Amino acid sequence: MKPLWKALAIAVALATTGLAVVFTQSPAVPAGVPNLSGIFAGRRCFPANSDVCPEMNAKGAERLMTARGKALIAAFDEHAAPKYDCSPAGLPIIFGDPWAVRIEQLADRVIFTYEKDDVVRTVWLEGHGHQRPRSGLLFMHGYSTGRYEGNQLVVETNRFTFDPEGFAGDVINAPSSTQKRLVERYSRNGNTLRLELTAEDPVFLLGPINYTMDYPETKEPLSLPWNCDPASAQRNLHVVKSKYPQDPPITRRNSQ
Amino acid sequence: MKSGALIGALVLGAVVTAAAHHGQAGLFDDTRIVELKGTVKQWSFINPHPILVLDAADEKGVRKEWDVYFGPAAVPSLRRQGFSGDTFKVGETVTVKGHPATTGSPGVDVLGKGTGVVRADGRSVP
Repeated sequence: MKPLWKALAIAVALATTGLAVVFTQSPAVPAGVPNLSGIFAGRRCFPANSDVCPEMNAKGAERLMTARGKALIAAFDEHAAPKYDCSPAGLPIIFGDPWAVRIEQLADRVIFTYEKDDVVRTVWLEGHGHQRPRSGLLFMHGYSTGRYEGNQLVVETNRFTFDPEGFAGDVINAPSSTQKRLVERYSRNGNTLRLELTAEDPVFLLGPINYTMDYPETKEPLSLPWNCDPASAQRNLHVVKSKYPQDPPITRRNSQ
Repeated sequence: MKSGALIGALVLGAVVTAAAHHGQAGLFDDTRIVELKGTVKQWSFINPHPILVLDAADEKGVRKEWDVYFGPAAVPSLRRQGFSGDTFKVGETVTVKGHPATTGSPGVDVLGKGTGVVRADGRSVP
């Protein structure tokens, strides 16, 4: 083979291989469904200045939590929060964190990869025969099923574990129960992804929480892995006062 | 970890208007800014929140180890602002303006108007 043809053949082979790699990493959006795939970063809440969005603040907790919820908030010690062991943020908190999320639409599932805490969620699309987890099995990020309705992806999630910071972390500490249920509706307008959220928890919320969040698309890749460092996380406690200084210090058994 | 020499510190109180913290609610006094001049003991450019550890003195001249936070920022967001794992060198002198911890612990938060980190030659960081 002449050098020119040889170079051309190599270039074609490399290009083909490259395309295959790209295809493997970013599968095509299945036909007939709204294109929600991409990487989205930053967020804007509606209504603006809400006391539940991007995450519940103290005023929101006072207004929305049941007596049980307020009692737990009063009792909980920030020093006991699992995040100081690098436990990941739960839902819906992670929706309001100011880091990126990647959405990949496959034929039978949708995968959400969050930059924050290396969280990966799988939404199992209905009608594909996915086996549900056995009764009573609970998960930190719940069990999510989804369906397309018009231009929206509708995700329903339940089967959450109890989470002492399920509705608010960072000193607010608003808990969520195993009865938490989320409905997420995703749609896209140009380069903006919209999430319309409804969160229910009859144990800790007086009624459903609703808010809307817009995420602009970004061309920047996710910064992964997150690689949370427990020692660094626990150093944050230097500026947090314990509610129970008379108690023994908390042993960080999950940071090993 | 090398312990740098005490350069001296100046702590000033000032009333400022600062952006509301997300994720740091109540941990720092957004209405005040303190100024610290000291030497870098450690720069942990790591998640969940990078921390700069500074050897400086409080307003009474007592030498302390100060934790400097950058709001709720994590590695990805600070990297986009221009920070990296090499931004600070152990032993270098910096001046930090930040909101003091409400607990009185030696910690400050660099977030919002009037806060920041400046090197010995006067350059702002990053």
